[in-house]
Amino acid sequence: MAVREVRTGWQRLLFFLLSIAVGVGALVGIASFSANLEGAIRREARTLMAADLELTSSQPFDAETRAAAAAWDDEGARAAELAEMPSMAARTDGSRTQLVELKALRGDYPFYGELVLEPARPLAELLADGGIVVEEALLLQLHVAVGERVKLGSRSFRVAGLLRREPDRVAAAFSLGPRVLMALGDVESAGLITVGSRVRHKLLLALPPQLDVAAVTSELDAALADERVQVRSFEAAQPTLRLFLARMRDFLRLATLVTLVLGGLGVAQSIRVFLQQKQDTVAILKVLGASTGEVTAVFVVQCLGLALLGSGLGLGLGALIQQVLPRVVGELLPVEVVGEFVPAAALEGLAVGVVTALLFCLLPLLAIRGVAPAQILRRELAAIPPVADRRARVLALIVLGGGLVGLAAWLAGSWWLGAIFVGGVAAALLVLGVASAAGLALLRRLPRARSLSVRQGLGNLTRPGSQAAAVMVSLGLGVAVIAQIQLVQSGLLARVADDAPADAPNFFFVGILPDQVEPFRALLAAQGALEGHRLVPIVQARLARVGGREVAEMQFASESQARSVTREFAITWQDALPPGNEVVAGTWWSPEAAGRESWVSVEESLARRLELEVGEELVFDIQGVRVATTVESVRAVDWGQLQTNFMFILTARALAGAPTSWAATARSRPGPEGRRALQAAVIAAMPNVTAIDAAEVIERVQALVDRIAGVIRFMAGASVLAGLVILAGSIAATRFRRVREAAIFKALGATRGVLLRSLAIEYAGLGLVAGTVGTVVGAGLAWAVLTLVLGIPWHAPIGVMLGLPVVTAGLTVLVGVGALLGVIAEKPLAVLRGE
Amino acid sequence: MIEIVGLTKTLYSGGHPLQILHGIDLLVPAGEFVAIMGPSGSGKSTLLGLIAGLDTPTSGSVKLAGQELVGLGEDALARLRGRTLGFVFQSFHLIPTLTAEENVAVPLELRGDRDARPRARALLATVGLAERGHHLPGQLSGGEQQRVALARAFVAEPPILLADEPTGNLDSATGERVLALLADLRARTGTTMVLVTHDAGLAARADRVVTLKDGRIDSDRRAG
Repeated sequence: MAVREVRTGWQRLLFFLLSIAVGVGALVGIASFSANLEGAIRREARTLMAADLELTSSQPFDAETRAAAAAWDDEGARAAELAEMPSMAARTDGSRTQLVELKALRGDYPFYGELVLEPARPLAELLADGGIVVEEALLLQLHVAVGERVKLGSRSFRVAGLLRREPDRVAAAFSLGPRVLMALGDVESAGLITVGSRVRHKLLLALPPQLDVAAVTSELDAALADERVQVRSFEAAQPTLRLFLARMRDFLRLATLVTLVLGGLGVAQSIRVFLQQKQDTVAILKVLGASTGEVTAVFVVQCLGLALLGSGLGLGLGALIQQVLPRVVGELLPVEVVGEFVPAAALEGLAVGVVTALLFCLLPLLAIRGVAPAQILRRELAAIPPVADRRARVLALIVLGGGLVGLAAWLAGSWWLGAIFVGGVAAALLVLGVASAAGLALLRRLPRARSLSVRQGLGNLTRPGSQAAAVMVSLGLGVAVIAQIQLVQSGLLARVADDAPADAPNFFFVGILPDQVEPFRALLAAQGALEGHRLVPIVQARLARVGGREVAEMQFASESQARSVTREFAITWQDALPPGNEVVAGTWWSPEAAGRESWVSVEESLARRLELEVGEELVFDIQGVRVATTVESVRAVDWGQLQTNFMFILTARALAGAPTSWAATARSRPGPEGRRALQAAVIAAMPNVTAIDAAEVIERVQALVDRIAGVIRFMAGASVLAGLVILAGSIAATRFRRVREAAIFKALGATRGVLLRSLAIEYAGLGLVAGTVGTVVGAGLAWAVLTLVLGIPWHAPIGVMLGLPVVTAGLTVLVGVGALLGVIAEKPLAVLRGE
Repeated sequence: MIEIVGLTKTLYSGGHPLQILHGIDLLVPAGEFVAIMGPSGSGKSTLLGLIAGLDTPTSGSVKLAGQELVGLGEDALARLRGRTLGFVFQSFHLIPTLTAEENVAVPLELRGDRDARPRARALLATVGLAERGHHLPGQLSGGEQQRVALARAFVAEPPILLADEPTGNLDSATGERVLALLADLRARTGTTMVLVTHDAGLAARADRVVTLKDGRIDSDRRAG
């Protein structure tokens, strides 16, 4: 019977299938893609590390560490030593400079994966006698050819070849500049490593097959006394990147829930319309003796079948999305991802799709209870849409809400996050619903328009039984998601780029040695860059004790949390409170006290995380020397400002004698010429100093943000698509009525132009209200993210605020008018006959 | 006023031709009231639809006020209808989103008439619905809706009025009232009228009764 019932009116149910398919497709696409990505990373893990295990440290390895690693040599292990750091490369005439990522090596690198070089000769051969191998981007930037020389540090090097591929290179999107490979011995002779250099030292080990990597890793870890040295097996290669990708995956999975909820709304809409058409059938079945339960069962079986079919369709769509995603994600990926079928992802998609569809069928199916058998005798009864009683509806809503929280919890992997997300979506839907209803009420109250097309178009939106509100809410939600992403992104970028005041510094210099401070000032003066410059001392330190607890003995909830406390901090000393800082607890010290006391001022959010209060003890470890301080104040820091800021500022007394380098911010003379001149002058005089051009950094940040936002926008596109499916469904639901009205208008003498105009006005109105409401809701969310979470002042780009509603209106008109062109073309005779 | 020569209409149902009209010839002079009768399926409504240019004939010609319909495009037909035709349907067919007054004004507005609203209001008063002008069709009774439809059919003072079972959906008392109104409006305007009906009593009021049978004119006689 369920099958027989579907046979008629199946076109309406097409939208049921599509609604579910879009959400399931998004979910399956992402799940399959990330499973394949994880698989690829796991398979390529050795390549991503270029070794079986690695030791890393920000300090040169001490003899003890080297000995512990060398102990495995007898078992057949091989070792290579690497030092990675940002550095400056320049033409030998000093006219052009470029920030590079320098990788200096000694030994047999890489143990796994392929290093593709041009010419294809052994790396050691190319690096011999002061040779370097570089990425082509550097040559293009410096206008240098292979065979010519490039200056790095205090020496010049011959470019011996090009680097085409490097196995353990983090995805290009995250890099600071082109890669340069050189021999480790040359780094030392060029004076590239000084006190202030940010060097990552690595020891790579390749083990013979008979040694167990995990066992050697934990044995080495236990043997090393130096806490600054981290030991990691290939299975944990590239932890930062993997954490980033995992977070992205979790976020995107959760984001598909918006699409699924919208799909659910589409399902509810289809079933409601379908049941309205089937009221007679329901009434007849009841007259023939079927109970409400039996009739409901017939339709539940139908919903289940359709849900399965729709989810199946979604699997196909997911396969398609999976093929497209690598292109969208592009440079963020460290490995190549193959679009293989992932059974677990497909099963999950099927299950989630069916559950979502059934949850959203619940409420409309309750209407079966309200169908009176008598209505086959009395037609006027059928005109009133049946509604279930209040108690049943409340119950259904509770089941729906609970089910959605369950689904969200499953997708997010946390009940708490799931509940928050469902609450957020429900709140957004509520706001959109209220705003749409208000918008429609406003339209209803407007004085009747003079033009017939306007009156008819707007009348169609506000008439009883219009699905405008439902469409506005669903389209609005999609628009809200897009608006939020767009506004947060532009807010972030405006903060770093456009909003910088004209006198803000545009250069960061790091690695200035203490005896270079005065010459550096003189150089700035000669370059006309002295005004507004700031020089701050920097000392590298780790936390040793926090409020009486040893950091080494502290327990952390996650690896990322552990890293945020155990990492190396750049700390400074200052007599005066730096600009952009505000003391929120305790007091700032006087210059006299700074020379006498060992005090520290801690940044607000870190103080909260460390549960630190004024008066408590904080002990730093500065290259093995413990420095005890007392927390004297807590500061709020405006991180948005283009200047060097610090988590910890100490008194001069506390850091007296610590190994110090200096960092500077300065503003060059205006224009690219001024920037190039300042950079070149500094590199020529002080080759150990790294100059970072803010414009270049902003460009790279922009490119990265664009990529990430592109991925998110791609997923948000799915929710807009779901909204459009609902729009199309609502058009289909009213098609019969529209054919009839178009025929009457034509009979009365209306041309197709008049009908088209009124349709265009109707859908423009619909899209404009949905777009405006969605943009406003999205702007509200963006405001919350920017000001409450990120602390960035809110400003709305007028282009986005006005453009989105207009684009939405355009899209809606396109879909609406496009879908109804057939109606306008239909011959009106059928109406005359009363058919 | 209406000239029909050799009009045929063939439909294809399941691949088989089904001839609805077999060469109808009919001349309706200006000011005449013609009733078209015949059993269900005899082709009455199809004929009315072809006269109105709502469908295209398979062959033959239809002229309204001297203008040939066959060969005209969709929009030209619509404009012609707006100028020359008024319609009354069995199921009223008011636009549900427009008020009674707006419904009546539609034909005038489509012509771009500036005083559409006052004229619509005046005609609503004539059909006894002066107080109901701001109501939507859903808020009116069947008889009231048909009176609005009558006002709409006459508002543009069309030379020809086509009516398809105008009282078919009304009880007899209401139907009688609507008919009286129709007769009254026609008398005032001298409109040519073609009315399709099953009701012999209604046909008896016409100047002439044309009876269709199986798509052919079975009889064509003067009434009275």
